Amino acid sequence: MNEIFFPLMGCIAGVLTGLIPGIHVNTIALLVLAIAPENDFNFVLFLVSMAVVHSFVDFIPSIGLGAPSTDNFLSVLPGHRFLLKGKGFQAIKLSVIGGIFAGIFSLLLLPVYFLFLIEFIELISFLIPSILLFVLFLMVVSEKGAKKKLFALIVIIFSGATGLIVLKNLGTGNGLFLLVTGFFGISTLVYSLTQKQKIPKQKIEKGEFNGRESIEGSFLSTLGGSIVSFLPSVGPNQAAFILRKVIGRIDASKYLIILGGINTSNLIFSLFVLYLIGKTRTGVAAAINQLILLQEFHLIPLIGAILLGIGFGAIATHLIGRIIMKRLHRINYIYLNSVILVFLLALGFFFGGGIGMVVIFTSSSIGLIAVSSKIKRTNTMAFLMVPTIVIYLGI
Amino acid sequence: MELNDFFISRIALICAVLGLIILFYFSIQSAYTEKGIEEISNELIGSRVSVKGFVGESFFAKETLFFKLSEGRNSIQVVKFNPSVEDFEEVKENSFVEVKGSVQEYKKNLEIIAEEVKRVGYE
Repeated sequence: MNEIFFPLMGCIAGVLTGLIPGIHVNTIALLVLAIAPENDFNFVLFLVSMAVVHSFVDFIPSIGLGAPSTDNFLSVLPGHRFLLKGKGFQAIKLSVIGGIFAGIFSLLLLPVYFLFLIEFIELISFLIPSILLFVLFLMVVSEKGAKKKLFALIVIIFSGATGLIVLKNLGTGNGLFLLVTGFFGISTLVYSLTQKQKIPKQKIEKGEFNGRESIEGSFLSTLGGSIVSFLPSVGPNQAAFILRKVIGRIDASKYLIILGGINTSNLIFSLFVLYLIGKTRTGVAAAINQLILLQEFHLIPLIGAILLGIGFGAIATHLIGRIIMKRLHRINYIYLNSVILVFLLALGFFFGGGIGMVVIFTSSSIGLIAVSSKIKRTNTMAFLMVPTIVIYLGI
Repeated sequence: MELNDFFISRIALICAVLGLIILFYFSIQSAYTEKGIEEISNELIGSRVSVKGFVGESFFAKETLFFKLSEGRNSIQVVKFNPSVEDFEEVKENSFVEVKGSVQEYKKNLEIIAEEVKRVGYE
């Protein structure tokens, strides 16, 4: 019965890692590697269900507290807007819808993925730098007025340079965490504190969601997740961002569905990339690769653990999100923001020391330039896009 | 078409239950069946077996340990990917071991992809 016990324990661990800002599944995966006996498939099931549940639950701190994770930090911005309108719970539910449907689509599309995507991997890799450069260009020209365009260009150059320096010297583990904390966490929290934002009572009503929008958003996220699962240095956030820029105007609801789904589908596909070509594209896949050689007979239980994770993650996020959102307005939000700010700074110091503080200070300052000059904060995404372009061009 | 909370929660519940059923089925299927080397045939390809025998010739190449497992006149090739230090200690020529793994076909020959190799007493 270990085959059921371990995934269930993974689900509980996923809830905890998802709820606590700064604790990533990769951290737990490293601990598992240290204690797990070799070739024990039960620990693989633990890791898979934990990662899937985490991909659902981590939207709660992202949307409710403005505390981003490295996997879904783009949700902080639309999530916060929903929160200020009293629709934080709806934002969480949209991310859950994306996660469920993208998870199911990913499993259903696996045979197609196996057959076709491998054929196109080289073409997609070839196109990535051109697409990213085009998106950077769009980011500048989409701002209204010469002054805003100039500020967008400055923010893009500063963010890109910061990303290049930090990711090259601190790596994609701690470096990415520090940058995301600065660009999307601290800057949001500091701005909230200066504006003395008050969180309204959140509406906890039974929602009706547009079925077509949900299916379309989930399908797009499955598509994005499947493509980035193959590509080194391109993650779910970049994929969602590219989708938004290339497809054109996507409303905030659909964008949250895409963000909810892309994380889950990327995770699922990355496991099958490991089985197919032995490449690791996520921390969990890398840990599994160290634990066991995936074989054909492992695939069915893997799908079982994924389905369990999808169901458990969706239900847990819905229940916990409801409890937190119901009580959020009673909490002194300025006090809560200050506590989270201190907590994120402490985590930054723990992971990066003095240099980590410098990274957070720089990136949050650039984030605040974007906010105060009233340009889109997603311009700071250049911190990931520029290093990706550099890697793909082999510079 | 509208999606409501009831519909979404039911889909989530179905996913969780389906996942548990698959895992339960796997837990029954994944039990190793004890077999003698002479019983290993094409019909067992893909199934998980536990086989005992004496270790014959062995060699290590490309992070993989290969050894012959024999009992009486029957023998089968065993493959252990990424072997640990303990695996090397267990796989000594003429030692009697229990191999747990799955039966696979490679170049028209049957072999066992070992998940666990353990020295046991000869019965």
